[in-house]
Amino acid sequence: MAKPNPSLYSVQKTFFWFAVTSVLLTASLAGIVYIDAKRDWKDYQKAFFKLKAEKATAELKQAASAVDKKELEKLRAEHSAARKTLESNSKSILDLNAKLTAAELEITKTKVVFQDLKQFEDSYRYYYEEYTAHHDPRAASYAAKLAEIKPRVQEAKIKLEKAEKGRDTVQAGLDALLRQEKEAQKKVDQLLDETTRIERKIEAVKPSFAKDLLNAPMLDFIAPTLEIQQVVLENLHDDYHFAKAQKVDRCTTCHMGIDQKGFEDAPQPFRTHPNLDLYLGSMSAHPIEKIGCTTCHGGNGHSVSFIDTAHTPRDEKQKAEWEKKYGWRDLEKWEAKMLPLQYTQAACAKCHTGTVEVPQADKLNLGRNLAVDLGCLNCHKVEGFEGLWKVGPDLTAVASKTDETWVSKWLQDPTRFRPSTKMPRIFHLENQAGADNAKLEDAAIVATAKYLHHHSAHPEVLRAPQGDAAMGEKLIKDLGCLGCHSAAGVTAGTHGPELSSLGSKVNADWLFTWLKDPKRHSATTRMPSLRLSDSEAADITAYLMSQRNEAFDSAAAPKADPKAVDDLILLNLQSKMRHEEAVAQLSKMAPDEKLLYLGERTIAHQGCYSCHDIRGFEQAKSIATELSDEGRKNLHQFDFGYVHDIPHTRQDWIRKKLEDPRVFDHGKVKGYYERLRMPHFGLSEVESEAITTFVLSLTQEEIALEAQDLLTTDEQRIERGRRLIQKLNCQGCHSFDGKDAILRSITEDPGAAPPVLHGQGSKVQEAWLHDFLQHPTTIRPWLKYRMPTFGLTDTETQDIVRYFALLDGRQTSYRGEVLQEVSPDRLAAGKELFEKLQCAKCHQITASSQAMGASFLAPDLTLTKHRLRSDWVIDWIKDPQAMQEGTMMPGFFPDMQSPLPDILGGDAQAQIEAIRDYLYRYDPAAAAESTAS
Amino acid sequence: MTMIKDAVNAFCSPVIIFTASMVCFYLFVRFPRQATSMAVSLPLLGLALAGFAFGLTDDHFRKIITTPDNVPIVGMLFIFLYFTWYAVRKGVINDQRMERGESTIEQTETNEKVLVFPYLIFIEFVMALAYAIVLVVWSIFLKAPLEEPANPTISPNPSKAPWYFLGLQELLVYFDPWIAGVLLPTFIIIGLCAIPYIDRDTDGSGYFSFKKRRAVISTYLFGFWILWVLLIVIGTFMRGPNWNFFGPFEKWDIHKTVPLLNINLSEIIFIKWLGIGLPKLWIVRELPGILLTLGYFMVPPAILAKTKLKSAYQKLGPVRYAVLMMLLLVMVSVPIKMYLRWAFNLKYIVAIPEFFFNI
Amino acid sequence: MICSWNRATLTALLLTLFATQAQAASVSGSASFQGQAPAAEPIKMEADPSCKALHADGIAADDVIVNANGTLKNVFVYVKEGLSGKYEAPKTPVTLDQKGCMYTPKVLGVMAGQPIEIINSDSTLHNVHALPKNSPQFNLGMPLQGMKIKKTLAKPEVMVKVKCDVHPWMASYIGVLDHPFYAVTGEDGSFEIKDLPAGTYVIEAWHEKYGTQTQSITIDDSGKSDVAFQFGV
Repeated sequence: MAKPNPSLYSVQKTFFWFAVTSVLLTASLAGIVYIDAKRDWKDYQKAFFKLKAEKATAELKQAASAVDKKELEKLRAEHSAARKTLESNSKSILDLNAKLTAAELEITKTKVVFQDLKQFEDSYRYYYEEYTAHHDPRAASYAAKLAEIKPRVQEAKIKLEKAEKGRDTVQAGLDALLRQEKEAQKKVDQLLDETTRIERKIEAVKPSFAKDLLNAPMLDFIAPTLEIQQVVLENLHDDYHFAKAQKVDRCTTCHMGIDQKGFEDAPQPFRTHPNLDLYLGSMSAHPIEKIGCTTCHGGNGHSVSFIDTAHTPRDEKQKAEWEKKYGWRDLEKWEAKMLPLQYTQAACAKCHTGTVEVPQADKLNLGRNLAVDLGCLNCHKVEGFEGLWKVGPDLTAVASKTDETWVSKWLQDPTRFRPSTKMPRIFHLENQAGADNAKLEDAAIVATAKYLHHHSAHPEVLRAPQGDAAMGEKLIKDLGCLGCHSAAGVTAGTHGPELSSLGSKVNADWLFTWLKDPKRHSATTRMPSLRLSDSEAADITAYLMSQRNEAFDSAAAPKADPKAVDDLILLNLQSKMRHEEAVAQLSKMAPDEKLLYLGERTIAHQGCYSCHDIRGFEQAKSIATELSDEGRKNLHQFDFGYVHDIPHTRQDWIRKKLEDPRVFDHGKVKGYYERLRMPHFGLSEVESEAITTFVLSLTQEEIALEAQDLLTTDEQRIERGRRLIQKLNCQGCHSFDGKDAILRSITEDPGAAPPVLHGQGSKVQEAWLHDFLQHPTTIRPWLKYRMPTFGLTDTETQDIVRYFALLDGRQTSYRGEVLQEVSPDRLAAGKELFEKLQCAKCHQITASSQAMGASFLAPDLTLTKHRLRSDWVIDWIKDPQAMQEGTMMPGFFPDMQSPLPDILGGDAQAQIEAIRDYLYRYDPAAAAESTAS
Repeated sequence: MTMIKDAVNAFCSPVIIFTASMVCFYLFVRFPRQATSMAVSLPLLGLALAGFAFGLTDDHFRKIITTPDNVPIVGMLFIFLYFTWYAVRKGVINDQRMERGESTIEQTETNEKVLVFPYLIFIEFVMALAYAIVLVVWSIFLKAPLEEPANPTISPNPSKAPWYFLGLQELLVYFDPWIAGVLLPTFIIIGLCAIPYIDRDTDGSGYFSFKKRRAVISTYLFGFWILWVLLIVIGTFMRGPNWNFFGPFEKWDIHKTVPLLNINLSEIIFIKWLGIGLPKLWIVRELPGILLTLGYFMVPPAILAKTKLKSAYQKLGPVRYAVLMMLLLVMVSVPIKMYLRWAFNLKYIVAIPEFFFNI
Repeated sequence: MICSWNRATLTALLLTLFATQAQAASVSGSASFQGQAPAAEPIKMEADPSCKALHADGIAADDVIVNANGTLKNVFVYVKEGLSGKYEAPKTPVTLDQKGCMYTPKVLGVMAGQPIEIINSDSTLHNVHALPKNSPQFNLGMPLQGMKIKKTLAKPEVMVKVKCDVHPWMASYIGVLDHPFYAVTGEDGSFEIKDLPAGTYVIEAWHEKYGTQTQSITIDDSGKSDVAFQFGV
C-alpha cells in the first residue's frame, strides 16, 4: 500500500458527499411534507368550492337581473343627495363632534367624583351598622360621617345626570344630521340584500391566495379552509370483534354536497343524496348527525381516500372504469366493505327489526316476501323468522290425492306440469348430469314416491256428484278463487297453485272432498273453505277435472333401475356399517323394502320435510345452513370452488348461488351423497337481486337500542297481524294497509269487488268482527265473491281484530256500543229524515232488485247496531267520499249544509246524529211499512 | 418460461435446497480463496441478481418479495451474504499476506492513527445522513401494511412467527415442539455463551484469518447459514398455508393437499421389521431409540478423542471437550434428523407421549 | 249630450274594430251512422216503482240513438288541438236535469270552472255521482223533488261520466274543456261550432259506444267549414 494520507481519506470528497446527502435529505424531508399534504380529498374539496362558486355566480346573475334597476338608480340618487347634504353640514357635524367629546369628558369627571363619594358612603354605612349592632361607641362618629356625606353623594349624582343629559342632547343633534344618509344607505342595502348575500357566499368559497396560504402544509393547523369533515356518531359503533369503536364518518370530506339541496345534477362525489326528505336532512327520519353514512352503506368511515374507504363498484363495467380512473383495487383487509348501490337496502334491516316489511325498502321487502313465499326460510333457519308456516302442501295423505306415477313425474321436473309452480327442481340438476347419475336420480325419485304413498293416510273421501263444467268455470271466476289462484284462463292470484291441469293430477272424489272441506285432507292447510254447496263443488270439480296437461300425461314415468337402487342403498348403509355387513343387509331386503328404505333415505337427504309435512319426519331437523349472520359471514367461508368468473365478493357468491345453486360443485369430484343439495328455483334477475339483498340484510350486528327503530307493543301486535295476513293472503281480495288487491284489479265494476278494508278498525265493532272472521256471513248480498271460512283459532282471530283496531290507533275492548238514552223527539226526527232522504231506496232487498246489477244495493241496515261503531256512522254520513273514495253511498250534507232546513232547525250535525240514533234502534218491518205507504 | 419456473419450484423443495446449500457451503469453506475471488463472486452475484430480476416478472414471486414485511428480509439476505463474503475475503487476503511473509492488514493499519474527530465522526455523520435518507425514502414507498381488524375466531393461514423465529418454526416440522422450541434454542444460546470458554486459542485473534481458524469459522458459518438463515428463508418464502411447501413461483393455495404420513422408530422396529406389535411398557418400546440416542452422544466423542480429534482433546481437556462435543453433536443432529425424516418419513426416534417427551 | 255622442262614436269605432272578429269562421257538420241501427233495449225499472210509473209505455236505453235521417245523436264534437289563447269560463250555469229517472241532456259540454246546475225533477231519490279523473270526484244525494245543486269541474277532461247509484241505467257524459268550441249533435245529427278564429285545428267527435274520430281542418277568416264524421257498427 502507498503511504497513507495523514487524514486517511480525502476530506474534500467527504465534504462533497456531505453536501450531496444534505441536499438529498432536505429533498426527502420535503418529499415527506409533500406526500403528507397532497391528498385526494383536498382536490375534491377545491373542486367542490369551485362548483359552489359557479352556482353562486349563476345565482348572482339571476339575482342581479331581478333587481329593479330603476329603483336602484333612484335610491342611489337619494343616497348621494343625502350624502351631499351631510357634506354641506360638515362644519356643524364637526362642531357637534367636538361638543360630544367635551360632554363625554364631563361625564367621566363627574362620574369619578360620584363613584368615589359613593364608595365612602357605603363603607361608612357598613361600619355604622356593625358598630350599632355591637353597641360600639364609635357608631356615633360614623353616624355623623354618614350624615355628612349623604347630601354630597346626592349632589354628585345630580351633576352626573346633568352631564349625561347634556351628552344625550348633543348626540341627538348629531344623529338628526346623520339620520337621513343612514336611512338612504339602508334602503339601498335592502334592495341589494340578496345580491350582497350571494356575493358574500362567493367570497367565502372562491379560492384566493390567503386561503392557499392557510391551507399550505405546516400552516394548515391555524385555520384551514380545506378540512376533513366528520360526523361522530354517539350510538353507532364499528365492530372490531373484541372491541367496539365509535363510528366516525368522514365521507362528507369529499361528498360535500350530499346533504345540500341544489346539487342534484352535480358530478359525483358532490351529488345530493336522493330523497333528502327521508335521508340526511335534519328534519328527516335519518338525519346525518345521528345516522352518518357507513351504517347504511358500509365501508371504512375513518378513511378519506377513495380506495381505503372500500368503495365497491356496482358491476364489472364500473369496476373497469374505476380501475382506470382511480387505480381502484379491492380492499382485501376491510371486512365491512361498502355494499354496491343495488344492495343498499340490505342495511335497513339492522335498525328496522321485527317488522314484516321495512317501510320504503321495496327491494328488501320483495326479497323477504319471496324468501317466505318460496320456502327459503323453511329450510334455512334465520333468527327472527321462526314460526313460519310450511309452504309446501301436506304430504301425509298424498295417496288419497294422487298416484305414485304422478309424484314421480312431478319430482323429475315440476315445471313440466306447472310452469308457475313455486316448488323448486331438486333432481337432475347440473351436478347430477350424466347417464349414470340420471339413473340414480330416477331411482331416488321412484323410491321417494313409493315411500310417500306407503306411509300415506287415507282420510274418508266423499263421492263427487256429476257437475256442470261450464258452470264450474263461471263459479271460479265469480266466487273469488282468483284472489289466490290463477285458473280458468285468468292470471290472477299467486298465493295458491295455478289450477289449469288438475285433471292429470287428482281424482274427482278427492277434489270434491277438498273443495267442501280442505281441513279433512290436511289440518294445517291454508286453503279456506268457501262454504260451497254440493252442486257448486261438483261444478267446480267437473271443470277442473276437465283440464289436463297432455304433454305431462304422455311423458314416460321414471323407472327405478335395480342396480341403481342397490348402489344407492349400499352407499347409505356403508355410512353406518362396514361394507360386508352392508352387502349382507342389502341382500336380505325385498325389492319393496329396498324402495321404501331408499325413499326414506332420499327424503332425509334432501330435507323435503322442511317444506312439507311428511309421516315419519315430524321432528327431523332441516338440512340447510343457518343464515342468521350471512350478511357478515367471512368471505373465506364461502366456497367458490373452481368458479372463477364471478368477482370474489359475498354478494356475488350469494347471487350466483341463488341463480344456480349447484354451480359450486363444478370441477369437483364428489360422491353422490356429497354433492350440493340446494334445489333450483328458477329465479328471475329481479328476484335473485331482491333475495340477495335480503340475505345480505341478515346480520347479527349489534346496534344500540337507542339507535334502532324499536317497535312499541302496539306496533309489534300490528306486525303479528301483518304476518297472519300474509299467511292467509287477505290482500289477494281486499285492499288495505298499503296494498291493492289482485281481485279488485281484475273486477271491472268496483262495486262488485270485495270491500276495501281501510279504516276497518274504526268502522266495525270488535265482537262482531271476531264472530264474522270465524263464521263469515253475507253483508252485501249482491256480492258474488264469497268471504271464506279460514278456520282461525281464537288467538289468530284476536290478533286480526287487534291488528285492524291498532292500525286505526284504537285499543280493543270487545265492549260493543253502549246506547245512550235518546229523546223521542230526536227519534222521531231521525225517522222523518230517514224517510225524507229515502235511505230505504238503496238499503233494501227485494227479489227484483237483484237483477239490476251489482252496484245497486247497499248493506242491510239492521246490521248497524251490532256491526258498526256509532261514531263511525256519523263520519260516514257526513262525507262518505272522504272515507272511501268512489263509494256508491252519496253525500247528503255537502259542506254540512242540510237539504231539509225545517227538521231540527236545519242543523246538519244534529240531523246526522238523529239519523244515527234512529239507525241504532231501526226496525226493518216498520221501515218497510212506511216506504210502501 | 413455465418450464424454468416449474424447475425452480421443484428445486426449492426442502430436501433439494438443503442438500444443495450444504454442498455449496462445503465448497465455500473448502476453497475459500477461490470462492471469494472476484472471478467467482462477481459472476455469481450477477447470476443471483439476474435470477431475481427474472423472478420479479412473475406475479406471485413479486407479491411475496415486495410485501413491505419481506423487503427487509430480502435486503438482509444480500447484506449477510456480502458481509460473510467480505469477512472471509479479508481472512483470505490476510492468509495470502502471511504466506508471503507480510504483516496482516490490521497490523499495518494499527501503526497509522488519525484523530477520531473529525475523521471518524465526519464520515459517521455523512453516513447518518445517508441512512436517514434511506429511511425516509423507504417509509415513503414501503408503507407498513394495515391488515384487517383482528378476529379471534379466525386464525390466519399460514400462521407465521416473526421472521427471526421462522427458522425454529421450520424446525417444528422435523422435531417435537419441546426440542425445537425449547431445547434447541437453549443449546444455541448456551453454545454461543460457551464459545469464549471453549475456544481459548489466541492464535489468529486480532485479525481476519481463515486458515488459522478454519474449524471454528466453518462450524459457526454452518450453524449460522445452513441452520439459521437457510431455514428462515425456507420458512419465510417457501412455506405457505397449512405449512405446505410452495415453490417461489407457486400460488399459495389453501386447498393444496399433500400426502404425508410419518412413523416413529419404535413402530418401524417392532411393527415393520419384527412384526410383533408395539410393547406395552414404554421403556421396552422406546429402548432401541433411547439406546441409539445415548450411543450417538457417547460413542462418537469417545472414538474421535482417541483418533481424529486427539490433539483437540488434549488441548481442551476432558470437560471442555465434552461440552464442545455435546454442542457439536446437538448441532449436527439437526440435519441428521431432517434427512432421516425426508428419507424414511421418520417422526420420532424416541416417542414417549406418556410424558410428552419425544426426540 | 256630448257624453252620449262620444259613447256612440266609441261604440262605432269598436264595432268596426271587432267587425273583423265578428266575421270569424264556424265549423259545422254532421255525424252519420252506417249500418243497421242496433235494437234499443227497454230499460228494466222494476226496482223502483216510482220510475216505472213515469214511463207507462216503457223507455229504451239511450246509449245509442240513431236519428230518422241516419245520423247519430249525442255525439260530442270539439276542437282538440290548434287553439291558443285563454278563454274565460262563463258564469252562467249549464243545466243537467234528472227527469223521468233519466239524465237530460245525456251528453253536454261545459267549460272548466263553469258552474253546472244539477236538478232533480223527480220525487224519487237520485244521487249524482261524477267520476272525473282530473278533478275531484263527488257523489251527492238529491232526495227532494226540485232541489238544485251547483258544482264545477275544475280541469278539462273528455269525457266525465256521471251516474246515479240508485238507478244504474242512468248515465250522462260531460265534456269539460278550457275553451268554448264544442257542440253536441241533436235530433238531426248536425253540429255547429261558431266564432272560431282562423287557423288549423284538429276536431274530435266522441260517442259513448262507438269511440272517437278525429279530423284536421284549416279555416280562414270568414269561411264556413264542413266536417263529416261517420260512425258505424
